[in-house]
Amino acid sequence: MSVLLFCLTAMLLILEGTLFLRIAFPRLERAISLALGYPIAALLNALLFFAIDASGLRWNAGTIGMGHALLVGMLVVWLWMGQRNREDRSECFSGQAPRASMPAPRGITIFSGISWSSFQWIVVALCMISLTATFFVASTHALILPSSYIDTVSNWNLRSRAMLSAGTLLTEGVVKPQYPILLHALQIVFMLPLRGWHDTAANAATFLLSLSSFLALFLLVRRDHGAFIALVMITALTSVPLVTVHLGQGFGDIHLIQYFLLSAFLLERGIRLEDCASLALSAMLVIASAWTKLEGFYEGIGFWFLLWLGSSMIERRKIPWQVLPLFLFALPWPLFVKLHHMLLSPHNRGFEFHFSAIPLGFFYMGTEGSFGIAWYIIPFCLVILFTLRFLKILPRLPIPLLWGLLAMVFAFVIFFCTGEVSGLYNQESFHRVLLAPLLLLIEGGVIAFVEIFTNVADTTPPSS
Amino acid sequence: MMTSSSRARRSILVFSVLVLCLGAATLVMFLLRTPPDPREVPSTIVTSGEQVTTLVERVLHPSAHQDTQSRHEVLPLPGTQLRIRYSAALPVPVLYAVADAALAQGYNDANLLVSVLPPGTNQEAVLSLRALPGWKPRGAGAVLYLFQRGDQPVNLRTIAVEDRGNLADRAWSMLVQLRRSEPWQVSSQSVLRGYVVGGMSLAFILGVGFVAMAVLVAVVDLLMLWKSIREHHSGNSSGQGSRSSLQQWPHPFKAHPWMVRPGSPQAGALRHFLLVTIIFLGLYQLRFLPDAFASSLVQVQRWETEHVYGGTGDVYLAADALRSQATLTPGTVAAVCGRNHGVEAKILRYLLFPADAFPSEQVWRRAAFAIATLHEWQFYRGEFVCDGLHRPGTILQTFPHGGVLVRFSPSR
Repeated sequence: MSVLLFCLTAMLLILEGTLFLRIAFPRLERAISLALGYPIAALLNALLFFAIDASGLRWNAGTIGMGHALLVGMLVVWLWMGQRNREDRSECFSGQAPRASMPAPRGITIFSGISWSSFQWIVVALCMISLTATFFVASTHALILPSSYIDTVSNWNLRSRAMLSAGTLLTEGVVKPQYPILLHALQIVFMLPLRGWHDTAANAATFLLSLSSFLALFLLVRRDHGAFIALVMITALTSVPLVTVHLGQGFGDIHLIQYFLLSAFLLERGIRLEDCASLALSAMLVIASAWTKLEGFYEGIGFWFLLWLGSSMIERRKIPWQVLPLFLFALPWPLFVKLHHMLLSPHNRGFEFHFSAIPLGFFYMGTEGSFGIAWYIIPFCLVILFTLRFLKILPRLPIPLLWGLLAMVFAFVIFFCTGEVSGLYNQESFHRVLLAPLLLLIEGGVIAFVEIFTNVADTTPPSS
Repeated sequence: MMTSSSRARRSILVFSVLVLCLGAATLVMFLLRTPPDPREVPSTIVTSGEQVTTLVERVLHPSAHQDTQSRHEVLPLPGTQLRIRYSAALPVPVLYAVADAALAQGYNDANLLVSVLPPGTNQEAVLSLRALPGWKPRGAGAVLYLFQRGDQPVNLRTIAVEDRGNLADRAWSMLVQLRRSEPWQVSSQSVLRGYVVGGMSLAFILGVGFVAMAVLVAVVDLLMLWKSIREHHSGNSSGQGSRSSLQQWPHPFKAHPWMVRPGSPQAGALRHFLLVTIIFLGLYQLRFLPDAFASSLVQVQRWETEHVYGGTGDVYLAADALRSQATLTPGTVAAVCGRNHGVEAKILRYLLFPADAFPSEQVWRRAAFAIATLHEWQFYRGEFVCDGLHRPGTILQTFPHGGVLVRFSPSR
């Protein structure tokens, strides 16, 4: 019965998110809408929880159920009445329709010329094995084993449980009440039909968010670069050992990163193809990251703005201001935190330079098992990509790569120049925080190499 | 000119020869190694402090009045194994590590092994130092902790460091160290310590290998590029009609967009770099994923059969028992006893919500219940004793790993 109720709730959320995406982004492929439905529904659900709390009502099956029913009803009626805005929303750049699509790299042709098809199938097989093992490990920890990770039991799940019991947002009596509520709202919405707290359901709800986010990223990458590249990218992202661990029972960080990855990919697409729909969807996903964890405000929205404005100004494009109003949806939470006299971050510490932490940080990055050998590969890739950019072989550096670089510099400043250095010394947060820049760099690196090889595939020798 | 298929065949041949050479070297190492000492005791890598506590509790079954003690021995000589002669009435849990004078505690806590010496009079046991992930032939010796119960001390006669085995044996040991699982602590997923081989991190070894191989490939490819540029120039200057397809195209660094084109040295270099990346990433995954897979299966099996997860003893069983035997309200408080009571109290606080759970010393007087998840407790003259504290109470339930659930009598 519990499984059935869980599945029904999940399906309802996916339906809600998919309907929203079909209305707001009618040109989005159906499969992508379905995959993105759950991550978007998680944001809508968080906004609904916040609105109900702000209106003085308690969270219970009645209010939340009514809220969702109203939302789904509105979306269905909107869709049914043909109120979909069919005019092309993508004209916000230059008054012209977006380019049809990304230049197709012909999927599996990267290693063409040396009869590489068998090699590519070997890579596909290895990727499938790696992904299967990764998601098996993650699913056992998320769906079979109980909560044991200290961050889960003393912060995330405990706060959700306390809020479920209180039926309202809690600003006292819980650890770090200033953390945003996307994950809490997501867990609670599954608990309401179950009539009480269910540890497995709570972990399954967030695991489903991980699964759907990676599936959505796969489909988005496949649309632009082909299935082979999409598979390689997802495998590269999940091949970082700490990601495997966090996919199981990690909280906050992994979901924040998933929203960053989706948003960065769509921001890249939006800017490159001058596609306002991708840009708006990217904005929504980065707003979702700000509702997931406080880092989403500065590492997410802050860097999003920087890259959005920066790339538009550097490439002398018209700045698509139409997406700006969307960010109003990110503001309620910091306002709520400020109104309740809480600090925006529980980690507020003064500026102090820690010279001795620098070699230690690099030592941990290079010798411990959290990142495998990723931090040896990334510098090499960066040197190659910057060289190719300098030689103008690579037309531009992808947004996820720049986002990753900004996030990396930011993480170094936090750990080497503030009191957060304790998180490096005791290894409590250093590795987790570096996951976001690393995964963004991997995503950006894959996109950049694909672009180089796309030029290879599309280029034909000139006639002599 | 070499065709693409012949290049592929050559690559496969080189790769096969490399794999065969590695296989042959491994076989030679295996054949030449000396057989293990018959008195060698099997050991397990330590993944968490709770694991050691649980083992000591499980083996020694101490009560609150029979406190466990540890004896600390530092053995400064490098060697391959420890030979211990002793007499003990109970099995002897031991914890040992490669000595590291640079660290405050004298050893690296990421490279610890735990083992249990059999009980008996005039016993002799061998602990393999080579099994330690941090072991290297010219290491700094070892650190050994022996655990004993206060009322059953171990009579330790000698501990000697022995240097045994040949070169193949040592090389084989380093290879075998790779079999050691990743120390993965389920209650703290903030870091993975990684694998250690011959005192060096596997991430470092493969990372340096990747850098070396990538640099080598880059140098070879740059030489090829240089050669193609020279050929291009000589082809242009001679004005010959039959030029290769490479020479038909413009200078590699002056023309866009044909600078990275199929068959060009630049495209080849990028392909080679990606191949090297895939191979080295795959090598790390080859070690990590089977390990994570196997460890997850073991955890699931333990959970299904014993209802135990991580190193927290009977914490989940105790929470279920308390939920079924009492109505938990926001004012209900449980005191948590034992060495890991900080971690266990946090888990119990979540499992018992809306009731609260705290380490025993914080709430002993106002707690309605006490939970000990291991053997470190005693019932003495109607009083429950743990962590040096005592209070009248009734045992509600005991658990398979030594834990207990106690309801305190109301304080007067």
